[in-house]
Amino acid sequence: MGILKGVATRLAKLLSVVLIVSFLTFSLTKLLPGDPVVVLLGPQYSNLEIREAVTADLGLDKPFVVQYLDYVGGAVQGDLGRSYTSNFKTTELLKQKLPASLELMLLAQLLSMMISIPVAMFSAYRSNSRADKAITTTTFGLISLPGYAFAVFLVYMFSLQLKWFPAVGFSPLKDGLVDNLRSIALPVTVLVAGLTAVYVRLLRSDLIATLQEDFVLMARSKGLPTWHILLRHALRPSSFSLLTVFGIQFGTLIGGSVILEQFFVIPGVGSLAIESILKRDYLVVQGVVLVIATAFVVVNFLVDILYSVLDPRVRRSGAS
Amino acid sequence: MNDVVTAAEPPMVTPPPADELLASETKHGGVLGLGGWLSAIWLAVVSVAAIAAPWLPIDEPDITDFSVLANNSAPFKAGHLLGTDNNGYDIFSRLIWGGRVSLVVAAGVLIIGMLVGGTIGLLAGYLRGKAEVVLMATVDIFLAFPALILLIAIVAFLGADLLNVVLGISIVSIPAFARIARATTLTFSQREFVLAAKAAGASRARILVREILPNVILPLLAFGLLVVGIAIVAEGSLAFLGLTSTETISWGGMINGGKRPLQQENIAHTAMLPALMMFLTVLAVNFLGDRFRAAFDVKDSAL
Repeated sequence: MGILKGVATRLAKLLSVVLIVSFLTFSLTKLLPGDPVVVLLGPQYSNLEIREAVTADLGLDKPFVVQYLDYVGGAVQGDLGRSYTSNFKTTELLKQKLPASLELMLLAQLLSMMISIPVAMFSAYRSNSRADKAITTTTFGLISLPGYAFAVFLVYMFSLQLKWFPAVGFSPLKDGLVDNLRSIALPVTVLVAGLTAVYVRLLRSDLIATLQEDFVLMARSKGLPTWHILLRHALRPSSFSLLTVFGIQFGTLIGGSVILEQFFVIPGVGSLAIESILKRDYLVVQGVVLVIATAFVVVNFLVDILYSVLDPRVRRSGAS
Repeated sequence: MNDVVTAAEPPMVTPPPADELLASETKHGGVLGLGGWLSAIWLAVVSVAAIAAPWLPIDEPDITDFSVLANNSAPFKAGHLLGTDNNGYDIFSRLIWGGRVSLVVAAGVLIIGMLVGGTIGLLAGYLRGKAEVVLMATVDIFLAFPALILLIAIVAFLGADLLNVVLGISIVSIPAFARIARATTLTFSQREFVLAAKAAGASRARILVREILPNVILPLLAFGLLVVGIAIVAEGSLAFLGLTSTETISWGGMINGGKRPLQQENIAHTAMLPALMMFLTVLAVNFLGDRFRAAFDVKDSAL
């Protein structure tokens, strides 16, 4: 019961954030200079009749609030309007571009979790050993390494010199798994490097704190094997900040993939966002920001719920 | 800003000056102290070179050397220490000039972020109640926007000159400053010396400026170094994406400029040298920030 109530409050908060973000994006794009009708019509803009007809057709002659409500009403029914420049539906564009971006992000998150959890456990268990120091130093360096700088290095090394991977371009999953993986190997590596560094440092320091706890000493004195203590006793109570940051990193990932999609010429949501911003294609910008912000808020909402699954104390406090 | 700090410092919580912090770290961390000094020296060299760029005996950064344009652009040849790029520009000179942009961005973001974000956080943390709810809700909504896309939108719409880039990055970084300032304010606003000032009949404004601000400003500055690292990378991202003015010489722009003819193997120096430059600078900034933050944490738990 308590959990349900907590979920309901969070859902309400989530909805209001999404609404406010959509409103701000909408007003931002309205306030900015540039009339989409100009983009749409080109030289025909000088014809007053056509201009007014098109303006009315797009609903741009209505009051601001009505326009916004129309937009939200459409968005709820899955209609985010049409691109002013290409006349594609925004939802259609998103459907085309989402798979590549999602693949990039999910693969990066999955791989970095798979790498960072064992590395952090090793590093924490052997804290202050030479291996631990090497890991800490490396991760610190990786945090300071801008993604695009690393990307340039990887392309030089593995595409131009060794010729293992294509330098740019994207091969969709339906054209074969191997080609697909080869085409995203380098951008995923860049993302994984940044994520892993953050995760390892975080989980390592939390694990070190947990390993000082009495229940770990207890487990150790019972003669339980090290891997058992690390995996079954220490990992769960050490994973909360990791989980929070995991959610927040989706935001960072979006930024990272914007740059990498441009650099590696991957047709993803990031490229779509940049192109539409530069073309003043407001409806598409609004759609992209709305989808990204919603996804970000939803992921962090799920993370919040996961807390109560992982931590009985959160569950109980939710009930009271 | 420094004058305010020293003038208003209550004696019992005087934060140690920067070099003492480094020294205390050396005692605990050994080698880390050396890293901190190396970082500081590197940043000093880059900054001084950047400021003095117009008077240094280096090639003009935007004049094409036609003698090397066609064939010989590698480092250590044809009188160019680090070679030339695809436009025949001297790379060493451009690396130094590019530092100016990073310096301006770092200083601008630090000042605007601390002033605006710090004020918001300070007020939210001290006033509590409705003011806090409204201020922090605004901050949270800003955080829900994808930062880089917001930044690109700001720069695309405002125009791509350096001032707008600094403004854009500052706007994006204000929420983070606000959150840190609020959290720090919360820990200090319950302390005895604030209570003492209240009992002595000090006004709210006086407590805020003379008792709390001096304690918040140094941790905020330590956090600011982290943001400076991110800001330098962010400016580089914009330049790398080709969204800033091409007139401006920037490391990010150099990486991009070297990237375009990907098949030419000379990206080894045209793109990777500015990438290395940026990496080393961000590394140094982060390292110093890390030392400072560690020093403050130690002090917090010790008190």
